[in-house]
Parts: sequence; structure tokens; C-alpha cells
Amino acid sequence: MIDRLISTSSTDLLERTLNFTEQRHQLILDNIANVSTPGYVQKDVSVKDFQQSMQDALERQQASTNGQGEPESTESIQFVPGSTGVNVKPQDVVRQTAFHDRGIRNMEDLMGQLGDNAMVHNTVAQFLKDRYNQINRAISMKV
Amino acid sequence: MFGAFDVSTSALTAQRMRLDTISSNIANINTTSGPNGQPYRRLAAIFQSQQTDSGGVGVQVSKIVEDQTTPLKARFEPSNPSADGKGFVYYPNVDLSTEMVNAIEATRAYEANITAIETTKSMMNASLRVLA
Repeated sequence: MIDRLISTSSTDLLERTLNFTEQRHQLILDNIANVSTPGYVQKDVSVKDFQQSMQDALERQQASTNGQGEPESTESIQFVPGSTGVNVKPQDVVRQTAFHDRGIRNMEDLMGQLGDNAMVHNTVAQFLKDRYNQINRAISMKV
Repeated sequence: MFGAFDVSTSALTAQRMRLDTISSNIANINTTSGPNGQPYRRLAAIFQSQQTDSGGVGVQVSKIVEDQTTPLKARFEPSNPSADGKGFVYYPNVDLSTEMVNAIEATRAYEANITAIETTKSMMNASLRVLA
């Protein structure tokens, strides 16, 4: 009962998103740290693929009667079955212009990605917090 | 997630070291004889990506090399005690505008990594506050 109360579809979705944003944050940090390393190839993971998988899973969940719906793994993102784990396989970023010393200096892009990713992370964390607060209030009968 | 700091701090260290070499280049822009009696040659920090313990990809300065390819600047100053037989004095191959551009780039990269650390902190805060 408690288990079903806590692991509803929205909590699963939020936890998966947190897992994803944390791992993407690490990749963005790597890219920022190596912004003036000659010959370094930047790595990233597709946000579009992740969101598409999550959206498909939600749609399947709403269509099914028992509320079950695991997101499908893609080439770069693997969803661990039976848990909210997410494993990302970073891909080399191909669309990048190298300077004469083979360094990549798209700092604006990277800082944009960093802010974007952190915003999603913090928003999702807030949602998750609200969700748990709601459950807490329900448990203590304070509405 | 705690390993995220390793990556950013490795970049802070590397960029700081790069700024140090730039400072010494600018400081020695007129040094016509170093400890070995030769004119000062421009130093360059070589960056190399490096795997951190936490699985991230940080950066390190693999070596600091003297720039032997850019020619020294010869000036005709016969009265200078460092002048060679023909009256030429060899000045370091340091170009001030190049150094300033590199300095700005290193500073910006440093700032970017500071921002990255701040962002990591805010994300960790948000994660920790989920249950608090």
C-alpha cells in the first residue's frame, strides 16, 4: 500500500529525470574543464531521446489499465528495468568547429547547457519534494 | 555526483597554471639574458585530458614547454652590452597581444569553471532538500 502510494508514475518519472540530469551534468563539467585541451572530443547525451522515451512511457502508462509502463531504452540511454536507474552512454559531439590548435571553444553553448540542465534538475527536485510533502501531510492527516 | 568537483577543480588548477606562464611571459618580455645567458623564450602550458578517480574527465597541465619555433626579435642596439658582433640584441619571442588574448581566455575559462562549481552546489542542494 505504502509502496504504491510512493511509487506512482510521477515519482518514477521525476526520479529518472534526476538520475539523467545528474549524469548529464557530469558530462557538461568534463566538457567545460577541457574547453582549452587540444584534441579533446566533447561528449554529450541526447536530451531529446530521453524526453521522447519518457513521453512514450507516460502515454503507454495512461493507455494501460494497471498503470504499468517502463520507458524503452535507446542507443544512448538505458533504463534499468524494475528501478528508476538510468545509464547514459555518452556520444561524441560531432558538430563542432575546431580552432587552429584543435581546441573547441564553444563556451556559450556549454554554459547554456549547464544552466539549462541545472534548471531542469532543480525544478524536478522541487516537484519531488512537493510530492513527498504531500504524502507526509496525508500521513499526518494535515490537509 | 560528489566527484563532479574533481573535474572542475582540475580545470581551475590547470587554468591557473596557464595564467602563471602567461604572467611570466609578460614579466620577461624584455629579458635579454636568462640564467643560461640566452634570451628568455616564451613558455606555453600544454593541456591534456585526464581521467579522475570518480570517472569524470578532468584536465591537467602535462608539461610547460619553451617556444623554440617563433623566432626571437632582433633589434639593432650596438650600445647594448648584450649585443652580438653585428650589433644586434635578441629580445624574447613574446608577443604582448597574444599573451593578453590568452590571459583573457584563461580567465574566462576559470570563471566558467567557478560557475560550474556553483551550479553543482545548487544541484546538490536541491537534491538534498528533497527529503529535508
